[in-house]
This record gives sequence, C-alpha cells and structure tokens, in this order.
Amino acid sequence: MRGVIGVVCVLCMLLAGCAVGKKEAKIPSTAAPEKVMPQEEKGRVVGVPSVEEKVLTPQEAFVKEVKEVYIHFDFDKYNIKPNDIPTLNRIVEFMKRHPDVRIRIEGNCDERGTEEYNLALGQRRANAAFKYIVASGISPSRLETISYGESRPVDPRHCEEAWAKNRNAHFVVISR
Amino acid sequence: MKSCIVRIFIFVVLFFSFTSISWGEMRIQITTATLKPTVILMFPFLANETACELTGSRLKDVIVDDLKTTGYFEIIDGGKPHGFSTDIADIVADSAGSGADYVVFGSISEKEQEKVLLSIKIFDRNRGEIVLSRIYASKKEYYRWIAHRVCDEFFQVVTGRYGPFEDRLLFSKGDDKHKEIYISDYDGHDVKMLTRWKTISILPKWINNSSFFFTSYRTGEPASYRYDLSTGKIKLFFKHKGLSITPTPFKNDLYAISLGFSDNIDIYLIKKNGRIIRRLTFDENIDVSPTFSPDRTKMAFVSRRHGSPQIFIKDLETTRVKRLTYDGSYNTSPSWSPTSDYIAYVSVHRSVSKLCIIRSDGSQMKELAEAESIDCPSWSRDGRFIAYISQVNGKSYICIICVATGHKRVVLQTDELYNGLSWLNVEKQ
Repeated sequence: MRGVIGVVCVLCMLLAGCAVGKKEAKIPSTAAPEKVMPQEEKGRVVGVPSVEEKVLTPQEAFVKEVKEVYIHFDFDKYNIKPNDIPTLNRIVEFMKRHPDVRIRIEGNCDERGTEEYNLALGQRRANAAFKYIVASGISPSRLETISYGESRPVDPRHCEEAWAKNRNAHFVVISR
Repeated sequence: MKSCIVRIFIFVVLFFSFTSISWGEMRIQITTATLKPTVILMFPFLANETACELTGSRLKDVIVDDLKTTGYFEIIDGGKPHGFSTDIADIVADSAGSGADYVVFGSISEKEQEKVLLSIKIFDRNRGEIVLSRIYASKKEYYRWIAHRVCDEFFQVVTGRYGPFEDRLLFSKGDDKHKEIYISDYDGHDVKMLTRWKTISILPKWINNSSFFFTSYRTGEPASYRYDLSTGKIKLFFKHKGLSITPTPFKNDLYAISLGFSDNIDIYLIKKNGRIIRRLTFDENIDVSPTFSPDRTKMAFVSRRHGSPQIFIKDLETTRVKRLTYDGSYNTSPSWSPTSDYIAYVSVHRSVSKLCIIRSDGSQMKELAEAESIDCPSWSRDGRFIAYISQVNGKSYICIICVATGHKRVVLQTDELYNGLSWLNVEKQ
C-alpha cells in the first residue's frame, strides 16, 4: 500500500512539474495583458484563472525572473557601471534559459541636455548594454537597440532623483 | 540731420546686427538706442463702417506686437483715427510734439463677403515723406497675416532687409507617450496639429517654405519623414536599421543626416532619394547636429571626440576640423545664422542651460538667455532673432529673442514638452 501511495505521490509531483514546465513555456507569449484577464477588469469572479495563477505577459515574466530591467548611467555617460553588472548577468542567464526570447534595449536620457545629442547618447547607452550581452555569449540576432533620447522619462519630475532614474537602458522582451 | 541719425541707427542695429561689427561697437549702438528709442506714432485705422472697427483694432494690435518683439521701438497710440487719404499736413500737425520718428495711419474696409481691405501709409517725420504706402486685401480671418506683412515691408523700407514676421514655426509637442508636429505663426498664433500618428514625432526642420523633415517612431524605429504642406502628404524619406535623426538641408537637394552604424553615430550626406553619397565626419563616438554657413563652405556640428559634447567646425573644402567651444563641458545644438558668421548654441551646466552665440572663429561669445533647460535655437530668416525652447518650473516655453537688443518674447507655453523647433529661415521658393 505504501508503495502505491509513493508511486501516486511521485506521479503527482511529476505532473506538477510538467504543469510548471508548461507555464514557463508560456512566459514569452506575446499575449496582451488586457486580453488575458478581461474578467478582472469587469470585476467578475470567474474562478479560472485565479489571481495566483495569472498568466504573465512576457515582460512580466522577464521582470519577475531578472528582478531589474533597467541599468542606469551617470550624466552624459554611457559606460556600464560595476553595480549594474549583476543585472546584465541575470539578463544574459535569462536569455540562455529561454533561447527563443528576443530583447530590445531602449536607451534613454534625462531631460537635461539637448534633444539631438540625447538621441545619440541614448543610442550609445543601448549599444553599451548590447555589447556586454553579446560578449557574454548571446547572439546579436536576438537583440535590437533603439534610442528614445529624452522622450520617454520613467519619472516625469524635474529633479535630480527623477533624472537619475531617467538615464537608463531599459530591457524589453519583444518576441520568442 | 535727425532723420539721418535715426536711419543710420536703425540701419546699423537691424541690418548689420551681426555681420561685421564687434559686440563692443554694438553695445555703444544699443546704449544710444536706450537713450533714444525709435518712436512710432500709430493712429487707429479709419473704418468705413462700424463692423470693421474691431478688425482694424486687432490689426493694429498685431502690428504693435510685431514691432515690440524687436525691442527697438516705442509705440505711441495716436488716439483718434486718421484715414489713408488724410492730408500729410494734418498728420504733421497731429503728430507735432509726439517725438515720433514714424507715423502709421490708414483705412480699413470690408469688401464683399468676409474680405478685408487695409490701406496703410507710414510717414517718416524726420525726412518729411511717406516711406510706405500699400493696400492689402485678404480674407478677414487672415488679418494677422496683413499685419505681419506690413511690418516685414516696413523693415525692408527702413533697413533694406525684409522682416521675418510672416515666417512660421514648426515644433513638436506632447507627453511621454505621444508627440505630434505642429505649425504656428511666428508669434504662436494659429496653431495647427499636422501629424496625428499617436506616436513620437519630433525634431521638425524646414526644407523650404512648403515642406519639412521630421523624425518619427511610427514604425517602431526612428525614421525621417518629409511633410508637404501644399498637399498635406507625408512620405518616408530615410530609414535604416539604427539611429537616424532629422536631416538638415545642405544645397542642391543634398542633406546632412546623423546615422548610427555599428557603434558610431556620424554625419553623412544623402541625396533626395535617400542614397548616401559621402561621409562627413569620422570619429568613433558621437557626431550630430550639422548646420551650415550661409555660403555652405563650412559645417558646424556637435562631437564627443574630446570626451564631452562640444561644437566643432569642418571646412568642407579643406576637410580640416577645428574645435569651436571650450567654455564648459556640454555645448550642443549649434545653429548657424543664415545671414552672418554667428552660430547660436546651447551651453548646459548642471542645473542651468544658456543660449549663447559665438563667431565661427571662436570670438565674441555672448550669453543671450538662461533657463533650467534650453534647446533647438533657430534663427529667423533675416538673422535678427532666434527662437528657442526653454523649460522653467515644469513648464515648457517657445521664446523669441532679438539678438541685438536681447529683448525676449514668450510666444507659446505648455504643461507638456516641446521637442524640436524650426523657424523658417531658408530661401522662399
């Protein structure tokens, strides 16, 4: 009898494992979040999927796994800072775990400085992250870069704290 | 004699603003002007019927605003109207004791439906003669254009160089998600939205008086588009994999454009079909913001080749490059005057930006304005004014400054952000 229970337990664990595996496979899905959970928006209790079982968007899954999807830069600089290396390494590991994932690196600047120069500076920030990830063994074909200059601030305030946040390279999952 | 002095003063200040005289000499002229501004006596326009009195009054207000933009003129209200056919003797008598150098008077009437007719004269009291006599007709809704035209022609008569008041501004405005391209009169009136793509469209630049380039992320990546104002059509002009920034017209249907290839961002010359024909800068860093001397023999641009963004000048005939700016560690957005050797640019310090001008040999640097942030200086076609974007306390402004007098006028403001500005300063076609 104990043997039977043991086999059942093992089978359950294996099935659970398969289920988790399937869930991970959905991580890089391109489904839009509002299409995934219309029930929540309407405030209805639908039961399935529950909040806990919510299917994550590719970007949400990416954020959950690598923790941080921004690296930051000093004013008018585009060199990678040592404290951002762990973030980049986590992104590299994520891409190695998910070989069908492609990532866009978006270079951004704070509002100080001038628009045209900031477009170029944002591009160099994206390029710096691109070079690090490629040097870590990821194919360049799985990455793309873009600069938004000062057009897309994370924090719209006009202060040093906001500017520090807005000088960044942002990593976005674009496809599997 | 007085007439001669006034005409010489205006001629010097308006016409030769920045061609050959030094700032030291200029200061003397401005000081003289401060002591004795040019005074203009404006009589209200005589209306043929009550209905067009309001249009006449509005038209007069626009003329006054245009003239005040310069900082050269003091305007006096004449009180009672004087029509186009008023006898000069009456004008002389009614302006006696006013101290005016010029007297403006005329008639306004309405023709047919919604058409307005302005007959105007400008009398030079010092010379004792009429210097401008014109009749303008347009749709009533375009009365502001008539006023701008009067002032442009007045500048032509007095200084020999046509004014910039009919020329329009292009600018980008929006929030952190959407930015659209707009057009307005130089004084911020008659604003029209030109793009409705609900994406990021920025950095418009005039090509000629009927078309312009701008950069848009409509397809995801930045690409250059050409907008034809006469047809309202927008065409993709240039796109490649990587960064490209709005082209700057060079000459003969050639354009300078900043492009990102591999890791570098350099300036290239492209044809109107988008084909690259020549690389203009060679540096493993950032080279952006090309702007050309009036004779198109030199190009000023921003480069980071010395470790910080500075303005450099390339002689296009000898290919020699020299650094222009040394003051501070962030000098960008050069804009070469269409009429002189002066280059306007933005000098950024940690918490303040300055609008500066400097001659192409590095001499006579002058700070014109200061704000938390300044960008996109753009000269008027006559080289007397600079339009620019500034930010103060979270508000964004478009300002116009008279280079010779330093007189500043805010023409537009928003709680959103302006991202790009261009004042028509190319030859009319």
